[in-house]
Amino acid sequence: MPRNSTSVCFVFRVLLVTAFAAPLAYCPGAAAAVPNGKAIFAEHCAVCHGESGQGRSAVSSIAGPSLQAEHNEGQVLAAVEIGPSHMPSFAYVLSVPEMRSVATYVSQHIAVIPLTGGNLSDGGRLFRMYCAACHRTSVRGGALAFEDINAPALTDKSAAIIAGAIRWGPGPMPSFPPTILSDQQLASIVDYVKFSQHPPAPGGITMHFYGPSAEGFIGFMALLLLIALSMWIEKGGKG
Amino acid sequence: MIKAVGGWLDTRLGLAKFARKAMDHVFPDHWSFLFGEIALYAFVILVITGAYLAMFFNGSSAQIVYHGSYHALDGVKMTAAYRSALLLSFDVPAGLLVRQMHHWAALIFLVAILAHAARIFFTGAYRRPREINWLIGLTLLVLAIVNGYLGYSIIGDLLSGVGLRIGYAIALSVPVIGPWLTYTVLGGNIPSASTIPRFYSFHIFLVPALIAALLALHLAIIWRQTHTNFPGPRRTDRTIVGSRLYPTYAAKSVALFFLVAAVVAMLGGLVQIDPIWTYGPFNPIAVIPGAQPDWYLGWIEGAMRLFPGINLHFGRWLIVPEVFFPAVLMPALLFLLLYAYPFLERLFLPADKAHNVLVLPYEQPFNSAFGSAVLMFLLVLLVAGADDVVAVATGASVVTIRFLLRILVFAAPAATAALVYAICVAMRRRRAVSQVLEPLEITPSQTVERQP
Amino acid sequence: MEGEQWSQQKPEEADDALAESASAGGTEQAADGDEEKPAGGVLAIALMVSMLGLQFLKRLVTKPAMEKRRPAIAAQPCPCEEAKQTAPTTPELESETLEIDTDAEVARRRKWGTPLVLLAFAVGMAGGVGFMFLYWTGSGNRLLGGTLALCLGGFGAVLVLYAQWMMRRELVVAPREQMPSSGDEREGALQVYSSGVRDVQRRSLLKWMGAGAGAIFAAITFSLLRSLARVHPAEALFTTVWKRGERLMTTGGKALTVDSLHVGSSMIVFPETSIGSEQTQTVLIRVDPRLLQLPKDRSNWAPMGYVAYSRVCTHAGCAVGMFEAHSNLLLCPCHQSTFDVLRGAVPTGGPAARPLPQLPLYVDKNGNLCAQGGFSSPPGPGFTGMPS
Repeated sequence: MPRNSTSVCFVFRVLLVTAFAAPLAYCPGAAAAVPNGKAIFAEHCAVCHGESGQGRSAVSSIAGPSLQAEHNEGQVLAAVEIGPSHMPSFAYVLSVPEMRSVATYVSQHIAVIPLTGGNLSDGGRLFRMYCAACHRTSVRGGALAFEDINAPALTDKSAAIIAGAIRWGPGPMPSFPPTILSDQQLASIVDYVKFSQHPPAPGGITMHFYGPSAEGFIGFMALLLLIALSMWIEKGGKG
Repeated sequence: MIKAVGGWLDTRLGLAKFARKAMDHVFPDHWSFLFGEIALYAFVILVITGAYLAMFFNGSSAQIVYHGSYHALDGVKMTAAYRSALLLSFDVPAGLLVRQMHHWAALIFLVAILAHAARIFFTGAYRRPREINWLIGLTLLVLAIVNGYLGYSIIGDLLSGVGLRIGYAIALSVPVIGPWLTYTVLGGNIPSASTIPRFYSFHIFLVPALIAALLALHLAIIWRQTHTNFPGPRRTDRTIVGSRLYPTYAAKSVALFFLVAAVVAMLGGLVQIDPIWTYGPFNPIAVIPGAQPDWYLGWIEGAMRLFPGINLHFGRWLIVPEVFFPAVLMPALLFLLLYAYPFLERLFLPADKAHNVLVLPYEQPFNSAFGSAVLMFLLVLLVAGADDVVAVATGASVVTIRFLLRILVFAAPAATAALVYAICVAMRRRRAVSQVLEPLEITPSQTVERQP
Repeated sequence: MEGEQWSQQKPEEADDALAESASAGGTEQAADGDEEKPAGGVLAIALMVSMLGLQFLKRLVTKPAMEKRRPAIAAQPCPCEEAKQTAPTTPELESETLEIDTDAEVARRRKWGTPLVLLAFAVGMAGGVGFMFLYWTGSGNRLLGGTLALCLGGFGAVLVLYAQWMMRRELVVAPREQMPSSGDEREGALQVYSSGVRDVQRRSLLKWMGAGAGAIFAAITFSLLRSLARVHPAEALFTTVWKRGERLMTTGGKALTVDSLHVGSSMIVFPETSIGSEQTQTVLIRVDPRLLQLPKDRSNWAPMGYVAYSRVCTHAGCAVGMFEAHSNLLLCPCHQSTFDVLRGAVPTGGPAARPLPQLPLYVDKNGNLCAQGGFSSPPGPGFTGMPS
């Protein structure tokens, strides 16, 4: 959807394609080749959400929640455009590339939980205690009996998404605030999950780690193979 | 050379007469008769690989801290048994191969017993004079299931540990004697320090000794009674048709051993089974979903998931817990029915003569229908035991799947029985018609009675 | 009409003892039953069970009537008599060999069979050599298993091909030894046994002594089994470790306070004296206190919305590890039993029948969460005599 400022700028740029650089200053969004998301955040967003996106408490009329969970770039972009609840809309203040760049900045640089100092085996121990009940030790997800939803597989999740999910519990997942899991423990768990996304499989084909059910199925296939071999051995036998 | 060795033995053992009779022993030549041998050779492979594993496995539940070559478990507390299993998997050359071959051989052992039992049942080979072997065979099946359960439980990983806890609850649920049963046989509340060592000794000594003894009896009885035959020319209750033990059948049988071993080796090398390092050590605080027992116990697990929570109270005391019905009573009744089947059937068959010629499945519609219904019942329960795996694999809700399976567990066996019965009757009619047109070549020595 | 070997046999071949029961119901049922189509397998089984009952009744009532009605069947001779007359009990009878290959056929198959067998042998040897090489150079599981399979499969194929191509094919017809021994043999065995019995003096005394010894050995065995139980079940199953005043602790040894959890969070807790114990593991959950609907006598068990339940499933003892905050349900992953946290962990779905035992809580003067006493009922799966 073209915004007023963008279409004006576009026309202006087309008209002035051979002109000087100075008139370009009239179109703030198109000035730089790539809009600086960090600068836009500092100018427009930090006043409510804090310099590093940590959020401000509702003491004065200016307040905004922490953005450290906002990993979804599309959702941030939508919030900036629409202005949900008390947040104003920036559709007429920022151009589309500017809004996109600030959304990218928020999702990649603000919404980050520090993940250092993790220990793989400690992470495994913690995972088995808190997380394996839903996600399985092979991190391939598990069935839940609530609301037609299953605990998802974690095989394609980034470290940031995993950490965020643990801290803020999306959907039916419980949350694990720092009183339950310290930052270092969180880092350990993330290390373990990343490790288990491609665990060592020296034994051969893993069959998605489905476990004894898949192994039993292969056992039945082996029986069919053995029956075929038996038929070969007693070829022509009439009984 | 054979003559020299044979002569030496004969001088001391007088073997010549027995050897002659043995080499002349006739075996039928149909492939379905090999199922029992597949099971036998799978057992032999189990013993061989098991002996190798027993040299490395430490059946102790002492708690130690791991500092081995698998870094993801470094510094983790675990049983010595689990550590020895990790050692086998990562540090012993070909250790993982032998461990996986052992577990695959166990699965093949049981699936072959099932196929063998089905062949016996559907062809009526359990009838006189072979009822004894039917009873022995069912007992071998039970012992094999027990030994398989013990085998994967002694490792002490999280998956089998959850299974041990469930086994403990099942033993506890037996009315009146439950607590005593668990505290004497299992050594108390899982995880008890005596469970793994006790189960280890059962698994490598007591139960295999029983299996070997019953197996020897089973084979001796088959040898004595001679095999059955499928119906055909010259195949009667008084004559057996087939190939001699030496040289033909011996070659085929040994070939089968090598081929079964080859399949086990192929699976052991190419398909991962029971990756204990991904499950981690058993910790009573931890649990995983998708925890199934091995397939031969999956039917009991399925029954436990489908059966609703009904228990029997007296006042404020619990008398029969809800787990008893699906996990103890149902399997006991099923096996009782199977044990009693040849004798129950005799009440309906008018004559009791020796059956040495098999009856084709479609010639006995009730038998085939009953057997198919039982197999379908077990299959639905097996799927029910893996309902959360099905839910994850298909994205469906486990609640819906459970609801559907609760209906299927009654509907599917009934439908299967009716369908199989109808097919058998139809096939029998068709054969009767074709026989009128082209009668079988039968020699006078056959005892098949033909009604006009 | 086509003969069915097993269902239409002439009654002459029936045992004397079974003749009555067979004729009482067997032939009639067999004649009718095979043509009937049952409504379903269930109906068939119900039919079978009711027929069983009828059989017994009929046998009781009509035995003398049957004898009158079918004298021919009742008077049939024992099969051992027939066996006496016709059974070939000597296995030395020669067997007959049919379908012998011609020499030309054997030579032809040998010509083609030799390269086949050699090829299979080569595969087997290659697999074996490969396995040895890979083993000594420390190869991975896949190659080791693959080469071993080739080796074993190759040699197996050698034997199969040998049997099919390099052996003379034959079909042997051999006599079967009939299982009921002849009357003479049975008589002979019985005579030896009887004479042996007669040689033993005071046989009834021996019987009683045998019974006594058997009883003693059974008692000894039972006593030895008892040694396997080091703990009396009642001690272990009925006592609970939670005592009044014990603080709730995490696995890391931290005490829990009223600020530890926010609404919708859960935590695994233990009594101070047995952290990490399987039997006493407890799940602490914080819910919105306005939503709680605990029974009247537990109204003060959940301070500030903190509820605690035993984490050992009452169905089969797995750890009830999954808590879902939107629906306030605890889910056990083993058999998918769900428990409603707001109403005292009553089972709402799945196979569990009894609620999870609840731990009454209070807040002490330091703000720590503590237990008022033990669980409301013994934790874990059920057994006879468990109070609930």
